[in-house]
Amino acid sequence: MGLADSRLSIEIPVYLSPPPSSKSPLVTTASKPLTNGTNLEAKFTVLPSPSTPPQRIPFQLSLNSPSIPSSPTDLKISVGLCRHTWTKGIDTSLGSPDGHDFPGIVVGSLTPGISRPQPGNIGLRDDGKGMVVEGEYEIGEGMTSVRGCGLRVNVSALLHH
Amino acid sequence: MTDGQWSLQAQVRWKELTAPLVISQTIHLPHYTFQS
Repeated sequence: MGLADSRLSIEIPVYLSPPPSSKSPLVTTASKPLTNGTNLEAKFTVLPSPSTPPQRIPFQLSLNSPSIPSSPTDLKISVGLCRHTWTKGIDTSLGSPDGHDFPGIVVGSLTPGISRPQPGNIGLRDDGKGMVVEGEYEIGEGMTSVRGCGLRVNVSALLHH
Repeated sequence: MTDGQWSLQAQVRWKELTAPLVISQTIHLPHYTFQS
């Protein structure tokens, strides 16, 4: 009597339904001291994307400080999209040492007076209390759509002849 | 951070700031992942 090792592979497709995207603005705040002892207050609002899957992510960044001028110079703002799950160890450009960033859409000086941003650009306006930076993060070609995933099951059996 | 979660991160640099201001918001983008 001999032994034969027979293997059977079964692939079971599993499709995961994505959770619904948020329909409400997401708001977070932060503060950082200035050299003159006052603080720069920031409010970052991520607005719901009009499309599914989102191609552009609209956002607003409000900056308020008692000492911030209406036309600041040397003010640079960048906005990027990043995640930190399975890219640990890759340096980033936005101060996160254990993640990976897609490139920020804008790195440069702001020009006051732009009332409406173009796609992939940001604009600056004075809302009477401070500055509001508006823009849209456009999702680039380096990101791909995930339509589902599969589960592979391997079954091994020993057959006796 | 679980799969599908991302951070939209803004960084502000200004000569009057003692350090760059970084602010981020976690958003859910289940349709997108890295192309490896």
